Amino acid sequence: MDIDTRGRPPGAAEADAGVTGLYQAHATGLVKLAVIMLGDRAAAEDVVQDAFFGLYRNWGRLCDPGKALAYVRGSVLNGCRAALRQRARHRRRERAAAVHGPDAESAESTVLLGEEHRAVLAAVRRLPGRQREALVLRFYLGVPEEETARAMGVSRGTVKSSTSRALRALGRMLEEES
Amino acid sequence: MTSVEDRARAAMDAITGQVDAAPPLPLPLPPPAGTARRRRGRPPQRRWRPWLAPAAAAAAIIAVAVTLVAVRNAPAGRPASPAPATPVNGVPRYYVGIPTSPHFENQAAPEAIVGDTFTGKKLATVPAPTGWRFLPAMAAAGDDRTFVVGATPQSGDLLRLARLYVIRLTPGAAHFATLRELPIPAPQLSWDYVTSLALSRDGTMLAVLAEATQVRVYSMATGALVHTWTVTSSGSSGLPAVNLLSWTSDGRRLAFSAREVRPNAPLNIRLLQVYDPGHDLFADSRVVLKVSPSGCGSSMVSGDGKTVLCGSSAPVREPGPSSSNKACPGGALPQTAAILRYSTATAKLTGTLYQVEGSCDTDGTTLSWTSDDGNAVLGYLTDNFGGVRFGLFTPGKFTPLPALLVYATFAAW
Repeated sequence: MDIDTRGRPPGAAEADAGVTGLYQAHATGLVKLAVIMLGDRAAAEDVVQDAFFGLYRNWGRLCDPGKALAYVRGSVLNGCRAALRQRARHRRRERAAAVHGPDAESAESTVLLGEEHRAVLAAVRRLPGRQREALVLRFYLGVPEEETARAMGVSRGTVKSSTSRALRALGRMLEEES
Repeated sequence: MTSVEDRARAAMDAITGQVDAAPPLPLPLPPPAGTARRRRGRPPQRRWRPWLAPAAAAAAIIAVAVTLVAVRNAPAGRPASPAPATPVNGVPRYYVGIPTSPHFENQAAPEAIVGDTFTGKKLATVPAPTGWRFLPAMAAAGDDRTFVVGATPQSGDLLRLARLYVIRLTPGAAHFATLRELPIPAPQLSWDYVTSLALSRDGTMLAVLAEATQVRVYSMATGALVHTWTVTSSGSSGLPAVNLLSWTSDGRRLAFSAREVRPNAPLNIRLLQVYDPGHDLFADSRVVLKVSPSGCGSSMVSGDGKTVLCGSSAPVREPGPSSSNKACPGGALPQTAAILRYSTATAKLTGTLYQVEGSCDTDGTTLSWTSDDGNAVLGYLTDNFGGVRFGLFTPGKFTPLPALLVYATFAAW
C-alpha cells in the first residue's frame, strides 16, 4: 500500500507502517472475534477498523509497539461492548413496537448457518458479557490467559472463572432447549 | 472434550469460516475527530469509553519540561484556585488520577490530574518532571490534601518504579497543587502496582509493597524505613498474592488482602499491627475475614477497623427446579450485585450496605474509598456491556456522581 507522507507530522510514517503491518497480520482474526460477539459482519468490520484507527492515533503513546496487538484487541472488545449496549438500548425503546430476537444477527449470517450452529451462537450471545468474552478469547481463540485478562480489563483469576462459568451456563442453556 | 465444548467450537468455526479477509484499512486518516467513519450508509457509531469523560479523552497530553512545583491550573477565565473543600458526609472532594488506559502495555502517563468528585471538573494538571512519567501507583491520606504517586523513567523498564512523589493540594493558595519528590527509595513493583502503596490517614506513614515479597513502612517526613515484613510462602503454591488496602484511622493497623495462587483459594483480609515487633507478614497479622474471591471481588476496610466491605456479585437463584430460573431471555441467570459488610471481630456478615436488584445486565460493584464507619463508599457499578456508573453508596442508596476523568482504578481518594 502506497502511503502519502507529504505534510505529515513526524512519526506518522512509523505509525503507518506499524499499524498497516499489524492490520495485515491480525485484522481477519479480530473480525472473527467481533463477528462471534455481534453476529453481524458489517458491524464487526466497523468495530475492528475503528480499533485500528484508535491505535493509529495513539501510536506515539505505545512505549512498546510490540504490545500493540494487546491494545487493539482490547479496543475491539470495547467496541463490541458499545455496539451491544447500543443494540440493547434500541431494543428496549422499541420493545412495544416491534418483535426482535435477543440477537440482531444480520440476515446473511443467519442464512449461511445451520439450525444447530444458530442455536449455539444465540446461546453464546445470551451469556453475560464477561463470560462471553472469556469464552471466545480464551476458550475458542486460545489467547493466552494474561493477554485475555489484559484485553478484558480483569484479573487472570476472573478469566479462569468466567471461562468455566460460561461453559457451564452454555451447557445448561443448550440442555434446556433440546 | 465434552459435547458442549465441541458444539461451541463447531458453531464458532461455522460463523468465522465465512470471514476470509478484512476490508482494506485506508491510512492516513480522513478529516479530524468528530467525523465518524461511515460504511455502507450506516450511522456513525458513538465510541463510548466508560472510564474517560469525553473532555478528558480529548484533552491533549502535553509533555511540559518542568522539574518541580509549577502546575497548570484550571482553564483561563476561571479562578486560579478553587474554593476550600466542603466535604459531603465526610466524602473527599478531591481525587488524583493518572490519565492512562489499562490497555496500554506501559501505563505510565506524562501527567497526573486533580479532579472534583462532585462536579466532575478537572481542577489541575500536574506534569511529571522532565524525563519521567507517572504510574497509576497511588495512595491518598485522609486529609483530602495529600497524595503519593509513583514515577518511572520515561525510557525505563516496564513497571519499574524509581521515584515517589507527593502531590499536595492547597485550596486558595497561588499554587493549588504542588509536586515534591519524597526521600523514600522506590522499590521494584510487581505487575499489581496499583495496590502497592497505602498512605496513613494522617499522611505521616507510607506502606509500600516491594517486589511482591516485602511490606515496608516509611516515614513520609524523613524517608526513614520504620519497619519491614516479609511475605512468606505457606505451601506448595508459592508466595501468596498480596494487595495493600488501607490504614486504620488511628494509624496503628494496616489492612491488606492475601490469596494463594491456586484454584479456588480463598481471599484473606488481614490486619497488621504496625508497631508490634516481628517481621513475618502473615505470622504478625490477623485474619479478619476469609471469603471466596467471587464473594469479595473488591474489598476495603473501614477507617475504624471494625468493618470489611466487599463488592460482590452472584447469580439470582429462585428455589425450585432449574427450569424455573429463567428470568433472562434464553435462560441465562440474572445477576445481583451488593456491597456487603463483615465484622472484623467475628468475620460474620453484619449487613448489606447496598444491593442492586437482580437483572440480566448487572455485572458487579467496585469500591474505591470508604468512610471511617464504613457507611459511605465511593465506587462504581458495572454492567455486562462495559458500562460504568460512578457514585456514592450509603445505606440502601446509590447517588450517581459525574463520570471520573480517569479509569476508576487509576484514581485515589
